[in-house]
Amino acid sequence: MSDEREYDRPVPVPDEMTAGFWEAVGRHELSFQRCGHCGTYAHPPVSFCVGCHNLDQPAFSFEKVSGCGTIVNWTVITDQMVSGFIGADPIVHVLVRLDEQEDLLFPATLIGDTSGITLGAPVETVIRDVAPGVSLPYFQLIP
Amino acid sequence: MSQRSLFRNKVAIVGAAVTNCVRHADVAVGSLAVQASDAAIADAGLTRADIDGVACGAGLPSYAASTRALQPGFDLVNGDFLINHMSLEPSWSLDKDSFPPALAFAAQAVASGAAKYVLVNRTLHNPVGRYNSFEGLGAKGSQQWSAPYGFVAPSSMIAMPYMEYQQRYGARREHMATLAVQTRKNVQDIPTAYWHGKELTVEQYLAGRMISEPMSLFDNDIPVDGSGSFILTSAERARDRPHKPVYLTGWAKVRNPSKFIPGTLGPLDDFYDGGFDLAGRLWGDSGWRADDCDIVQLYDGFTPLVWLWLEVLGFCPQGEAWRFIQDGKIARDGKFPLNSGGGNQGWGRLHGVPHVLECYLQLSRRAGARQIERAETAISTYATPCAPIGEALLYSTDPER
Repeated sequence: MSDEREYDRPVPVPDEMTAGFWEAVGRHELSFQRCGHCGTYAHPPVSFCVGCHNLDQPAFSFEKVSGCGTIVNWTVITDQMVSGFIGADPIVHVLVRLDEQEDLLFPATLIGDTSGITLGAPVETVIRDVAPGVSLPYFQLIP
Repeated sequence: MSQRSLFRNKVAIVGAAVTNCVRHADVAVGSLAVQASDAAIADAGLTRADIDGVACGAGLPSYAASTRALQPGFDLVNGDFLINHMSLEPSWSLDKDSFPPALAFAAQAVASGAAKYVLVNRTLHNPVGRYNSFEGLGAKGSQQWSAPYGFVAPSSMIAMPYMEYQQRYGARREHMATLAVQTRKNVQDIPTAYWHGKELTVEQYLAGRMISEPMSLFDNDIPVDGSGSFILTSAERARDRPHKPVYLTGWAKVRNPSKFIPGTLGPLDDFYDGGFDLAGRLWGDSGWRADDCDIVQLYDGFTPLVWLWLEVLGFCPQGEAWRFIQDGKIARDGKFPLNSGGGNQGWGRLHGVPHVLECYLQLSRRAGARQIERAETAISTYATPCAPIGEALLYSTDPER
């Protein structure tokens, strides 16, 4: 992922709602939008809290999580359709349930040794700098 | 909230027409849509001047990185395109992303008196180049969560809960082959379907190129150019039309869809939660149950969706659809003929048109050589039981049903 060639894969373009998430990733922290009233995490970021439905005074911040979770499901992408990935090795893409909250889910590539993948397998977050100023969170199995 | 009350058996399908489905038509899809619409109007014994309502499913196609603005007539067909190019003068019109929801809302419009004869159209275009591919370096909006990981295709999205299903219940691709092969067989006497003249063997299915495990080439519907139109009117007016009317008895739409995680369709259990909730309302409102449906056309844009619809609607227990469809049961002459009209797997990516069409043709007894003897009630479904566009429609030949 950090080889010599110029990085030619799509990079995230943060927006008003997601800037806090990507800024934290840049500091190598996985964080999610959290409601200041009831503590519910949300991903992707929401305009009002799905936990307490506070419409009048939404109070959100991005809070760091452990990055640990379990695998909900996965696929192995063998037929690449994204520029920069064409011809690349198969990608193991996992949906992970973060330990902090039952419905806090995040999908990303599973890196490292993927041979032990199973439903419910524990994973941890690894954040990598893929290009100047661009970092992405990945997951890897906890042996 | 109940969604049935407004049109239960008060609205009927009285005509239909579908064009040939091909990879790339010789004409722009706008031409296909007008052809299908004129043919459906004629099929109902009407003229353009009778049409006072228009509803379209106008979503898709998705282009690589949105480098191209979608143009009605070339990329999609919406209500305004048909109104302008067919010189229609509707008092009511509606564009939805997808067609079966547009049909259900059109039925509400007829039942409420907003329109007398509604033309409902769904046109799909297959753009040149690779469908769904992502080009470019900036991933914006929902794609910021997926494209940086090389993940964009809907096929990859459904592959994840399908993998979860396989792992949890022990199903394998060999079990899905039964469905893919039978559905393909079902269009061998339907010349307008894309896969007409091209049967699929179990061996070919299993050797199909893998896209995103466990989704292979033959688990996806093939993108096509094609168009289908239907005419709806009130039960009273339907009696004066040339063909036997098929009444719309009920519908239910997915509600409170689980939070959508971009680039995924969520956990498998989200499909069950949404689907069981939908089925509870569908059967509760109608007083029907799965066993009451003679004709069953379940959405198969991706093959695993058929298993999930079978289970959530109660045709078989949760986790058993892969076993339920075996041993000749779903063949046209089997105990449970399934997707007798060929579905998307037989026609190509027509987004629910083949399913509604088959319910109509079977119940109006216009299915020709494939007419199923007992055809008084029907069900079609669309999309997935966990997405807000997912829905089920019930049909009957008997307005008292």
